Amino acid sequence: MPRIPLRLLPLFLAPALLTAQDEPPQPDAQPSARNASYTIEVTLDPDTKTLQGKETITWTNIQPLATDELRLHLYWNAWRNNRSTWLLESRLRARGRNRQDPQEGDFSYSDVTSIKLIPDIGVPSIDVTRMAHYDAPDDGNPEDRTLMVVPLPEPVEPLGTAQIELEWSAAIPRTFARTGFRGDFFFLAQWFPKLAVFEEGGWNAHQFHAGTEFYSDYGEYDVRITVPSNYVVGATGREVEKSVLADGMATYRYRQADVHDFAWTASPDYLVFEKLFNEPPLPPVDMRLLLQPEHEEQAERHFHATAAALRNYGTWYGAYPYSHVTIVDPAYLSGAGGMEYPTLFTSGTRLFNSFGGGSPEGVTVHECGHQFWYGLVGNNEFEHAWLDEGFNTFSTARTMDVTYGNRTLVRRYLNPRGARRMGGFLPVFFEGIESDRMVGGNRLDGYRDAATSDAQSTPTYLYSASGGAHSYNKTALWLSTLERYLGWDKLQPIMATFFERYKFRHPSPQDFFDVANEVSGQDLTWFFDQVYRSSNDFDYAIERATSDPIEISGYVRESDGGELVHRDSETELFRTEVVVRRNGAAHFPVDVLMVFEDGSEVRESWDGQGRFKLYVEEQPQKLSYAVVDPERKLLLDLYYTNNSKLREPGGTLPARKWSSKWMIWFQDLLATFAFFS
Amino acid sequence: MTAIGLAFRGFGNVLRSPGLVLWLWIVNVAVALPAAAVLTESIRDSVGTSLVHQNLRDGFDMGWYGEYSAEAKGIESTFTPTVTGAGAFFNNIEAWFNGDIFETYRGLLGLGILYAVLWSFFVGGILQRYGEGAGLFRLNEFIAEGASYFFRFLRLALISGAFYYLVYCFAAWLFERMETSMRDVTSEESVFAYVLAGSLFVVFLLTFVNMAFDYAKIATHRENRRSMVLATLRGFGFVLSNLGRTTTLYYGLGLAGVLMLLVYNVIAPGVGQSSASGVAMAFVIGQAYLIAKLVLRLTFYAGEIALFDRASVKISW
Repeated sequence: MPRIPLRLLPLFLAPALLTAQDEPPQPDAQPSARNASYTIEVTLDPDTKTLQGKETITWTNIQPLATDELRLHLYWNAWRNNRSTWLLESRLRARGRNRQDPQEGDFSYSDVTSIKLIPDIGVPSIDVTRMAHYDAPDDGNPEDRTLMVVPLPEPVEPLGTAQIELEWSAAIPRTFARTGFRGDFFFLAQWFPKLAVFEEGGWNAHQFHAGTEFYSDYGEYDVRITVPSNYVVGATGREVEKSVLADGMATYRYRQADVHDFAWTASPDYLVFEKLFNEPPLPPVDMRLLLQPEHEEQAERHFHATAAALRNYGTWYGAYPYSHVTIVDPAYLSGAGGMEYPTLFTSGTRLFNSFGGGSPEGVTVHECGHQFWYGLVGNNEFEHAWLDEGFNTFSTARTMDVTYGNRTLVRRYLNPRGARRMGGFLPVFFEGIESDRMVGGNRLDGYRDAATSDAQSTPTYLYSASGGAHSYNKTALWLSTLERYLGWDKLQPIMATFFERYKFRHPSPQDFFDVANEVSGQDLTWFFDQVYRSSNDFDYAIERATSDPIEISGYVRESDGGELVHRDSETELFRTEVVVRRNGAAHFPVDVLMVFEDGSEVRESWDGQGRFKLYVEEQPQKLSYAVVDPERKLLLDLYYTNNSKLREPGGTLPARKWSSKWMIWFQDLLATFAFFS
Repeated sequence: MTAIGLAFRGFGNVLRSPGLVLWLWIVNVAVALPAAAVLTESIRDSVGTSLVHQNLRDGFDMGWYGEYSAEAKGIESTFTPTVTGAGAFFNNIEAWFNGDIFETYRGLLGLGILYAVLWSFFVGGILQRYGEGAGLFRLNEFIAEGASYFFRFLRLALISGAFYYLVYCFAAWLFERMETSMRDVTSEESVFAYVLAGSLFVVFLLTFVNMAFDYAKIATHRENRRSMVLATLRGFGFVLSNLGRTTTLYYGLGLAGVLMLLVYNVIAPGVGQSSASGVAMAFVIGQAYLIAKLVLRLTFYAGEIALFDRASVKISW
């Protein structure tokens, strides 16, 4: 059997690569290890909804151990049949965005037809197609073909390089997991056979699960995309070449280095807009917007939101290093909206989207924000999705707050039965009913139900159906809690250091915890034990708040040697008792504020450890109210209403006000019944 | 007399019997009030003596609402901030249009059905009220007239329910087909145009059935019919044989309803009442809207009676 010679890497890379998981890269090194690079040629047939592809993968082993196999993700096989792990899991989920009911014509496949090892220039390639097989390490599902193992005739030693050439064909799904087609709109993500990540402990290669995203090494991508010449194409990277072919097709060549994925889109309908983000000292970024024609009047809003993300994330964490970003407004109901890919993301908007309801600004900021948390800091989304989704939800809420303020409640009407996926068409804004950053932006409501269902340290692919609440909501809530506990002036450097240290790398949760401890100068392990390693919930409450006159009843000697005098009462002072209770299993230090009728305040601090704490004050004034955690630092507190208590009942006006509005609604409902009876 | 003239004549007849409007409004309030009292208690318990009290008085508190709705059961589960202002109407018409009205909390659904049955009881009196030569509104006469037609109108309501059910089945089929057949349409504008057209068609079917059964009730009352099947045929027959005038009258009044809603949409109180007088004023405005809606519904009947009486002089079967 021919031997696979290992090519030496550029010498300046070698030290950095061998230690890439442990130490930050040297300043003169390339931004990323670039150890998984792809040269791809792909042709789209819009009629048969298929792709034909050929790719060369150049992979360098940057770990200090050898491997005798390569592992490839074939994500589109997740929808090859309805017995795949993805679809089995999807059906078990009670809710979510995943489609659970594919019909004929919706399915896809990714068939690798040829795999050849390329030993070296001038050496014949080795066909290893027959040696390849599927593996299902997570659940042993024999019907799952999302992970392919390619045994190698010779191991790839540390710093050695393997080059393989693949040919494949793929059927494009009707959109699942934001990739696929609708009519002549195509959004192609996870579309090519893609290497898993070889880590210190071996291959980190999972099957495609319904609740997870992706994980890949950084590299250079050089992709030639052939589509009908009337299609507009957008892709990861920059277009460097375009050639119109004789058969009505055109080939676009896109290149991008230091990214870990490549996605592209093609549609004859896109309107193309371009604008420069130029806000020194941040580097300029060419923003390219591919917009559905019916959203033309919303172009500026997409740019504005993208700029808000580039500005705020760039200022808070670190500059966006690429010179371009592509914003894709996907076709209506294509299912491709709201997803991130390196240097490209999908937004998503609707007709009649007036300003103020948070759309499309929210999704645009969020997906652009993923350029930082996911694109640049490339965590393992199979196992620790919260590292990007949670960090980004927190950052999105912060950006939306400083840029746009609160969001007005919007409900879309005209949502006929039988066509619920269409989502209603006519928006009505409810002025005065607003969602703020801390509760709405951080999605407290979505977390409440799932709070104790699992610990965040559970690998994401094993999460229960409420995994999203742990990845997105809980992380955003505990980061906001940290922000309020430490102060933004402390949290911002923590996140910026983490970003700077781990951009173009694959950090683990512990990497973040270590940075947080180091930069804050505090041991925050107790906090991460609560929010990351446990599934305990937080809930503090004022159980009792009373003020009673201090009564002295009985005989007292008024002076030394004097006679005993009977006193009935002494009413100048009031004894105020406030009982604070910890209802939740988790604990957090909290302040307790007691406000008295003359406006004077007493503030106490409690470590929050015990089940309850009694505070007693003797004051000439009665208590007005007491609040535990008055600044609402603990955003994870599931029930904040019980955090405060007025000593005297506040009256029934609020209840009457809102029940009277409800009553008018109900009377109208009755009238509707009567109209049709 | 033109359809517009009939509408005005009907409106005049309704205004001449304010006692009937008042009675129907009282019944409406009486059915809704206990449920509202339950909700008042529930909100009061939830807010307790917390500082949320102030937030809800000055506006709304989405944080509190998240906690409240997470625990909400029964009537509480029907409370959303979208009941504010014209949202009350939009929520209901949407729920009626897409059938969600039948999936609301069963207790409220039960009250709705009870109310519909009450209206079946009242319809006899309403029809008698707006006929030729009606005197002053007297509640005992109104009740007596309603009682004598109650079981007939109840049977008619069941038949109309079957028709509405068929329309719902058709609508579900239509929109499901629409969604399936438009799986490759990439433009929301196109889909919206189809959905809007489909929705208008479904609304037309629902209102056409409603109109036909209005005339079925009128025919039952005017012609003292015993067979509700024949009354149904009579209702549809009357509409079809007087298509121009019946539809102009019905949809003209429907248009007046839309205009009324537009006005209410402008003046409907939002969330900002923070004093007892402000809350009371918002409630009064809401009640004025509901009374206007009652008047409109009665105007439908009164106008249709006038049309039926005039057109039926020559027709008898």
